[in-house]
Amino acid sequence: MSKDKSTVVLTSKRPGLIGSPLTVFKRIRENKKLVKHLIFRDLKVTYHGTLIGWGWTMVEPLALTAVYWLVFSLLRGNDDPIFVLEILLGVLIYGMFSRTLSRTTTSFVGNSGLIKQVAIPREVFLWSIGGFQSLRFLLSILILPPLLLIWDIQLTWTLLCIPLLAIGIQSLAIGLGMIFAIMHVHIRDVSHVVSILTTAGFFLSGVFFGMKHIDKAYHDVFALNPVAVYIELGRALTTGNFDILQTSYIIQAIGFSFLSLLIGCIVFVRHEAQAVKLL
Amino acid sequence: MNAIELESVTLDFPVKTGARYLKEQVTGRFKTQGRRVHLRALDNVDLEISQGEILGIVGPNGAGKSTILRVMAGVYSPDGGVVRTRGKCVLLAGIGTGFQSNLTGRENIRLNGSIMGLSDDEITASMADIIDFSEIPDFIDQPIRTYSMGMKARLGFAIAAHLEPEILLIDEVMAVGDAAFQKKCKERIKEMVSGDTTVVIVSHNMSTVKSFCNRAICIHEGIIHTSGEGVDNAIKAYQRILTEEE
Repeated sequence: MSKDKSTVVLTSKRPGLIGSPLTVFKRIRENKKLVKHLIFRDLKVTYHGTLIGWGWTMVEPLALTAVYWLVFSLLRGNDDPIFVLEILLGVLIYGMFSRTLSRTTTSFVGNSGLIKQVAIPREVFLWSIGGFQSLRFLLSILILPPLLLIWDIQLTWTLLCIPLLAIGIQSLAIGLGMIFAIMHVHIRDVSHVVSILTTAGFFLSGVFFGMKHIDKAYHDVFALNPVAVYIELGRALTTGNFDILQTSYIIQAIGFSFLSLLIGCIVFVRHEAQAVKLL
Repeated sequence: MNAIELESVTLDFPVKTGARYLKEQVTGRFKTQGRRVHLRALDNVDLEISQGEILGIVGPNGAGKSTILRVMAGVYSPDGGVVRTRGKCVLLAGIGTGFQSNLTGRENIRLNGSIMGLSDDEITASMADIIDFSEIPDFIDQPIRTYSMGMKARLGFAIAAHLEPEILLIDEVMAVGDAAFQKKCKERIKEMVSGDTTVVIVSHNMSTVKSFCNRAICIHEGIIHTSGEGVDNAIKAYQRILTEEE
């Protein structure tokens, strides 16, 4: 058979360390329409039958804000709106990370019916989950400008950089998810371990507190958790106050995200063919 | 010109649990590598399928028929050897897999078509034909969860029937819907195979294999037992294996 563009050649050979991430990005680029369809499928299915549809992406955080305001401002007597805003940002950013991580972990097994019937790159399932959760987050943060105006907090241009923060945190989540998704096929307990880890992470990532509440001596240790740094970065981008967040922490978190995505791609590409056989 | 080539293709399935039990049951079909045990599903398979050819694959349950089809489709990567396919390849198996119960029939056509490799333009162009073929135009804007199993299967086949692949791999999917719809399905498949499409059909139904195929192979324990012209050799080999197993 002469080899032309339409010829597909399959062997047991897998891409190397550098080739694996490139393979993933190439497959995602080639299947971007399918990723888009899967993102909108999730959006439709999640809010199917509701009165306000995807409007819930904004109503949910608004309701949360009301609860936090009630608890912290009225009951505890802390009338600083910044404090409520910081908790809201922590919940939104951590929610995006944890939902992406837990759903990508189970995505390989969850889509086993399709994976065994159609030869589509399996990465699309994980990346579409990341895309959907990012979209949900971006819709949620649309409530920030009106809230800032109500609380008389100055709007800053740095607020526009929040989508970049989503890229960083989702790279981290998808990278880890690619590793856990493969592990989950071999050991089904992995999804439960991830669930425990994300619950623990909720309390360890500074959702209800910030770097300013921690002794300076422990900042370096706290910053080893990239999710905590991203939450702190989200708060800084919203308020424009970067006093406490060192640039080195941000670079470190971006480095973790890059490394996570790189290792995730390598593990996924090199092991998915064997994992499919276990579905 | 060959549309599909399998060159010394080997495929192993890892066996996670109950290996000792299975080993006792099917002695000789496992190879042990340290603590991991593998079931050899395809053993050094060589096969060439010419463009436009209609090949039938027969064999007893667990022989490797569906596995060889999935290797051709690219669902499974071989552990040894090479698989080459030329042109857009579609596997018809498990009709309607991937349907979302809360989405409407129309939305599922768009989603399923996209999963099957159709572009947005192709889906839009085929939408009316797919709805017409499925014979459920009155329900197409209702959620799939309100459909009967037969309606889902008809919609699934209608999408698959409009994919226009260069290689069509069919795994026991012609028993869809009622007798009238089955006849329609068979006519549609005949239309598809009358062109230049290369078709591989896996079936337990010998009359289906005889009526559609111009060549057949019999596979058993991951090894091709017959090939050659016509379908009779393969059917005889299949019947001989069934007799021996009894």
